[in-house]
Amino acid sequence: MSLTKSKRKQANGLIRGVKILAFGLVLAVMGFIGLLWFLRPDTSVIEKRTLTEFPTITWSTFWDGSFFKAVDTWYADTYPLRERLISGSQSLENHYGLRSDQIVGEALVADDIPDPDAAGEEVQAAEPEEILPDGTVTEIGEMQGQIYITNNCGYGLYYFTQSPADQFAATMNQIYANVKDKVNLYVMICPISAGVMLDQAVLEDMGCSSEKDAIDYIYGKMDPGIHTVSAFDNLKKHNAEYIYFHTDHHWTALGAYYAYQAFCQEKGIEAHNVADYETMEFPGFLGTFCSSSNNSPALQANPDTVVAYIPKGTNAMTMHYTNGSVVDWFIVNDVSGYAKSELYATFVGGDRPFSYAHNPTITDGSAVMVIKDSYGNAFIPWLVDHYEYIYWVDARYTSNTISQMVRDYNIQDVIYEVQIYNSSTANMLGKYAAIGQ
Amino acid sequence: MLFVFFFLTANLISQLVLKTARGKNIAMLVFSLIFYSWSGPRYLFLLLGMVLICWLGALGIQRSQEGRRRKQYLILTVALCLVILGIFKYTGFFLGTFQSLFGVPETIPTIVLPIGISFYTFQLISYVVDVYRGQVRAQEKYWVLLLYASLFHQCIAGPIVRYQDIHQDIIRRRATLGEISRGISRFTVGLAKKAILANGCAAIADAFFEVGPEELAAVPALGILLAAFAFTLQIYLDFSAYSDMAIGMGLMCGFHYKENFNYPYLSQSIGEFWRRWHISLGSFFRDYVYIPLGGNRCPVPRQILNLFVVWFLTGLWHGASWNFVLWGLYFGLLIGLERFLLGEKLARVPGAVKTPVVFLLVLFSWILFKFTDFSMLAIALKGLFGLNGNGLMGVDVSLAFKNNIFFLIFSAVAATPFGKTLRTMLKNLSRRNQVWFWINGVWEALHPVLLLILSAMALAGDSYNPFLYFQF
Repeated sequence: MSLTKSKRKQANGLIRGVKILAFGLVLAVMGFIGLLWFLRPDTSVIEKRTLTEFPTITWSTFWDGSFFKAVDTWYADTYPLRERLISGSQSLENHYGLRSDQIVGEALVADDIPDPDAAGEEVQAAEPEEILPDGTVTEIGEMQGQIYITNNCGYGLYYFTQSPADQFAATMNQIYANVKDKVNLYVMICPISAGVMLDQAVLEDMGCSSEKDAIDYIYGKMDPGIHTVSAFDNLKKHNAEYIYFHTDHHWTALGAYYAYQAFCQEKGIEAHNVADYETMEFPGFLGTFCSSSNNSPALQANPDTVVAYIPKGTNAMTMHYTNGSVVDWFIVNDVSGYAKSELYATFVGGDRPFSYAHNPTITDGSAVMVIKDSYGNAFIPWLVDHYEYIYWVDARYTSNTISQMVRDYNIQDVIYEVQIYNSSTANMLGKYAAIGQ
Repeated sequence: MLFVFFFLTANLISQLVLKTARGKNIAMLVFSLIFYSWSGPRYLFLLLGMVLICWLGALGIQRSQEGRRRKQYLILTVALCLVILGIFKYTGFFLGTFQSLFGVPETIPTIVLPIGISFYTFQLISYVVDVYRGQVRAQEKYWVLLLYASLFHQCIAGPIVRYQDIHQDIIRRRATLGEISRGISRFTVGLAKKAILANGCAAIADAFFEVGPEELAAVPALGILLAAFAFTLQIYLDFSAYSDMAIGMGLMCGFHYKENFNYPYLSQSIGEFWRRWHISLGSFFRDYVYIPLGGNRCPVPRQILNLFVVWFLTGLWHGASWNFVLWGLYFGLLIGLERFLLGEKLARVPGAVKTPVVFLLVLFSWILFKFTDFSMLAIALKGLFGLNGNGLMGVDVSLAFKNNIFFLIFSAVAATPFGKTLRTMLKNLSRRNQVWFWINGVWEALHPVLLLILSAMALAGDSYNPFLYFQF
């Protein structure tokens, strides 16, 4: 049954009125919310970054329009409902296609890795090893840019670039020349997950480099006096275990343990048995791969559990913040109740310019300095039971130098713990060199 | 977001509150000048100057009795406009070309392209020519002509609105509730097309195209094709979205702008494509260049020359780079072939064959359009035909396709009248019974809010959101 003409006209008028009113209301409300400056956030939890600040106006930025452009960016970047809007947008985008398999990020092309032999350096043959279950992943899966996602797991992809890799080796050689009379210098390049966990054919299909070849190449360029820690093979051997997070770019504490075993082998000491440690567990971890992949449903369906091994000698540490404040903390901290994206912060209080721990069960005066990135956070707890004093600096934030640390703290061992990307990208070289003074 | 939730809101309130045409126009002018100044107040003086030239020129034409004098005013005014456009848009291009040929000059001055200059220059030229032709009276008030040239709805992204089409709206306008309602729908559809679809297509295209030469050379053939397809959708959805928004904002304030797109990707010939694509630009070149040159009413060799000139200029208008000229001439060649060689034969080919062929030819043209760097263009073209040694398909390509398959289908459908047809069907059904009437009513009342919120979601993470045609 249809409406009469007059009723239809009346109803159409009503519909039109509702439409104009609803549109106007939403526009006005969203506009009003935008004016509430005190609700504007400073940081983004989803993106893990500081949001744009309101720009400072100068005559030149006013005249060329860059001030106004910056105001646009600030307005959108700090809009009070932005996080909710982004979450909504991400949910929408997750329905754009079949996203169980993805590639995230910008395309990269790797350089060929030269043969270390051709560089005139000796490459050591691997020892025969115990055969463990093979956890190599052979499926083609989701990959976004530098993250490859398959079977609800994300993998960081690695593309070798020769020039910064050469510079990294040269920087380490220079540092070694500076400090060789004072300390033992260890360099440990840590592989990221794809190289350890994925099948080489899959990696090649995506144009990725072999992490093992890259590490061998860089080590091959280093002075033989540097103790190079080859963690790759030990990690690869154990790749059926939970050694890398599924939703985060870091290794797990167990992954760090296998690197620690390699370190012990290089240092000539015996590694402690992992089974002897007490643990703390923090389930529900959704790490950086989640945020990088717009909260991929495949990853969200497979949250990680952060397992942390508590050092036996001590769990106490002291850390310095970038603002100069000093806080007593825990090497393995209880992060229950933290945001589900922040659970990796259980290790050594996160990334700080300078931190240290004193192990009272060792009284030989032994001291180690670790120059680290965030991979080092899960690694450092394993060192605690081998040294009386453990100092560590995050290379990104510290202003400490090896010479100063040796002078002040009687350091004997210096370990450069370097995630593989930091060994072949130029941005960290200056910082490593500055610390190596 | 600032534009939608602050600027537009304030503008609409001003148009609602102010009652007189003069008051509305002054407010609209202030808003338009602020909008234009947003990209840098320095460009505002150029706009003010060009409007002044055309205002004086048109008044000169109108007040002159003698035909020769009128023509002198016309030539002088148009020449000044073109010289200014040439200086700001093409100096670097021509000097760069000269330098590559003859090695001089040593340094090429960097001149920043004022935003929207190509659009408002053509609008002002059309105004002066129309006054000369007696199709419209010259505007006595400078600020009213400035309002015409600077109207923020279309000043920097088109369509190229002719003065004769809106001068009545400027003098006297009243937006009816029906027009406001239609304007809201049109604006929100345009906003969603831009914020969700065009930007989404851009992300797919950019993953393969916005890379360095090494990365581009590593893209397999189907990757180039996928990126070209996404770019083809992006450029239509992007540009037509701005026209939708302009038309919608115009309707909300009582301005009536002509349509600028008519589902061009369904064309059955290249000629038809250009009658459906950027209609205001095509008609500008037709009325102010092609027909004055003699159009079709001259011998075939002259017609070919006219075509060459028009398409050379069309290409050049799109950008100060030889790839745009190549792109324009490519269309000129295809239209020439259609008109002079294939005309009757094409008439016998079924539409089901012609439409996809035309689409592929247009898709190919967008590759020419995309790369201003000829070495990159060569890599992309080689890659398209599998000559970069990367095979047909790669993991990244197949995943990009799978990951976005529904989105690409939706975007492709959005480039057709499918949505419009659905809406017409719904309206027809609503006339038959009450249930459908109220379904249609709910959709009609709430779809702008839905689209607005979806667009806000998409814009939220997109702080920097450049529009392709701003530089043209």
